[in-house]
Amino acid sequence: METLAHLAVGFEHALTLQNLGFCFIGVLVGTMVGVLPGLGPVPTIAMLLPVTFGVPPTSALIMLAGIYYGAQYGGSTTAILLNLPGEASSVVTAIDGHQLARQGKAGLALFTAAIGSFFAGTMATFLIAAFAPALAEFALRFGPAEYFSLMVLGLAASVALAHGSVLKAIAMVVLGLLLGTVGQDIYTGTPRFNFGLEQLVDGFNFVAIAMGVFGIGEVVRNLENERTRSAVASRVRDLIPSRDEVKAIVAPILRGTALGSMLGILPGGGAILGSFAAYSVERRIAKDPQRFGKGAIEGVAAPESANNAGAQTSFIPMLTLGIPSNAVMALMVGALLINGIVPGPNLMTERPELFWGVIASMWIGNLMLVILNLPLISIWVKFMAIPYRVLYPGVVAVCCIGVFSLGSSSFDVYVMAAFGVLGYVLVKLDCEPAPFLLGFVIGRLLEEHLRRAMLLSRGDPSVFVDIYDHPISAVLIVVSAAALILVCWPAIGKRREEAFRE
Amino acid sequence: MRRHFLLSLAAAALVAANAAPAWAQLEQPIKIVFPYSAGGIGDALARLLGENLRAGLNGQSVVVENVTGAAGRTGVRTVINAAPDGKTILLSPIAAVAVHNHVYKNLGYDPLTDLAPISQVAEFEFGIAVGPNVPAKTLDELVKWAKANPDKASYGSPGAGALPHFFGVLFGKAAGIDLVHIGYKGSASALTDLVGGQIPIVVTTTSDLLAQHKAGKIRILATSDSKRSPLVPEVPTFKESGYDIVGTSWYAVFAPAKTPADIREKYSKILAAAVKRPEIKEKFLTMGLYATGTTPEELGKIQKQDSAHWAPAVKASGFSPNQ
Repeated sequence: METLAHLAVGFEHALTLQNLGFCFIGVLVGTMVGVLPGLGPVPTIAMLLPVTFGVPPTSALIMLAGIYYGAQYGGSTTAILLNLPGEASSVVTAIDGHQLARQGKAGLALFTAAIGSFFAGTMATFLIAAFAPALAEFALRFGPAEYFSLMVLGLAASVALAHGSVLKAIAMVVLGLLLGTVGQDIYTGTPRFNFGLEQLVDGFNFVAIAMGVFGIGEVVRNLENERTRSAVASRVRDLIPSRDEVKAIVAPILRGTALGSMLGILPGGGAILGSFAAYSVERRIAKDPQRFGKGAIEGVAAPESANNAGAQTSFIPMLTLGIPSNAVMALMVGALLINGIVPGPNLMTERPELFWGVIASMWIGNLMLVILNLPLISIWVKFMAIPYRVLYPGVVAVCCIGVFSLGSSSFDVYVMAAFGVLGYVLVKLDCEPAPFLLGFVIGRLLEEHLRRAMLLSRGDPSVFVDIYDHPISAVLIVVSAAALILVCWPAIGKRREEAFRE
Repeated sequence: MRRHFLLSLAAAALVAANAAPAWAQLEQPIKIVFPYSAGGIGDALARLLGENLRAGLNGQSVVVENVTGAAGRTGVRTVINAAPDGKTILLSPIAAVAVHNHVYKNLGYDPLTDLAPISQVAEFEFGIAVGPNVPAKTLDELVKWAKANPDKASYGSPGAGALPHFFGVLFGKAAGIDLVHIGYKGSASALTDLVGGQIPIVVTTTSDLLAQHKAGKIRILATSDSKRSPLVPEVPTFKESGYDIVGTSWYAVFAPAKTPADIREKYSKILAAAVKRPEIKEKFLTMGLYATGTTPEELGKIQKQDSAHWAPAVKASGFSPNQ
């Protein structure tokens, strides 16, 4: 009942003409930067920050929040159409989404992504409204040991991302882990594997690598021979999924939403893991995992729901504790501070109109995004009909601009080009790029938290399985071990059979 | 369909027009280089100063560019190598312009001579805070606790090689205790672990600790300036608590070494006048910054003094990445 009263206050503030306008501008700008590969919400929000100086803080936050989750909607568009994930969270969407697009089902994939995102956004909004403080407490129980164990679980599950050889998948994960070690040691400051280059002191940029391996790699591969693409359905009513297709996406959307919401609460890396985890789970429980990687609609529905749910719940630490969980949240804290508001645990009671107004606006924004995006789908799918010779120079140019905008560094553009070549080589060798990227992301977090946990425990590794002080960590380690055995069992079993035959 | 598209375009144009009215002008914009990524106080400060500089220069366009990398060194080097015509200036916290010369042996430039001062715009200080698992209410009690629990006495800072890291070393030396330093990536993640009881102590900018302190989730035990912090006037300084250490930090604007003095004077006057306005002062205070607004000469002096002040702490920390 109390929640409803709070939400009423929120909607009262979110539904003013001015705030609706800011919400709309936010989600619109968000969709646009999400669609443009490489150009993410961080530089956009930074650029728009001065605009918010003269605007009431609630409106400012509503707009900035809109840009953030709007970008999550838009990010899947290029991943599906061009195999070009603009954000970490849409990497896995590209795997099956792009295959669907090749089969002429781009509309279906985009529709699924939009509906999944909308459902996830709605659920996550209510989750925040009802349980935000409790969820924040849960997030606080994740210390270095818990994060380390979570990353171990992520690694164990990552092998499931591959749809070919398990050995190659493991090799790709390890390659990602190794590349993740490039750059300054965060505890001693010693630069590692940077060959004296100052540009590599901070390691490789994830977005540059992802766009190189996926986007540029795809462009290079298509230069070999122009693969045929099926005719596309461009009328809106052709986009509506059939009854069977609806049946196929309902459960994955629910599971993706649940996983994404939980992982999104965890600051630092949680949101990225959400979409990877959702994809892995779908593959694990599917009746015929062989379909994955060849255009399984579940492979779009689950991760897209997960990343949007995670984008919403990642607001929880900022709104309830005043602690930003990523760069976008840090920018929003900056916007509040400039307006004279110090976000912290007291925000909810001191500025209820701001707290609940922003939460209510998230649901309104999600509704606007669906209304905005569904008609746009029929424009986007026309991209599939553009001849490669026109499309690809444009794609490469936009990629270069996007990557350059990350840190005003031309070095990142070269990194993208080099990883484009690697992406092509990997495809030729039948190696999957997704486990490679997951390994890269996890590797850094794994090292950071492992060493922090060891420093805190003075080198005692038992903290990871200590049931009394770190029960979450202990459970995660046990689940990881079980997952590994599950993955390896068929291989062991097969070998034994072969041995018997001989 | 078309209507949606037109609507999008119109809204986009609206946003663009709002974001940078100066895009319409063809004159080359003034670039404020901020050597760290967007998000956080320093970046917000850069944008706030950009607005004021634009207003002070009759609408001349000013853009903020985040030239990130290598803990601020890439951005500083970009400014040092830029043409000294007043079109490129640097907003930097103390570390990259007065402390890196002690930390990195082969820096390749000397921030004290390769940069020309314009104006120090704001100061801020550090605080030491304890989380829910530490009973200490004063600095003395914290020292006693650390001596009794040597295997737990760790402190977090926003990053290895950041000033709070070195200030923690100064405190450990002054108190005669062995504190293990744990570097984080920014104040936010260190604070999460502090509030969650994963780490007992954090040293960082006082304003970053403020909200949690006021909500009773953590306790600030001391602040690092020679006088008490206006943000938490009830908390004593390190000096008052009996530990003779002082350390403050600041944000200042610099230009490439050969930038003409009259340009620097002009910018300095505009920025100093802006940060001394009451409404800006107040805005600064919520950001945890104390507006100063010095002349170029004063900034030059501060830069030299503080560079000398931090040298022994850097040495004592043993933090020495071989570049």
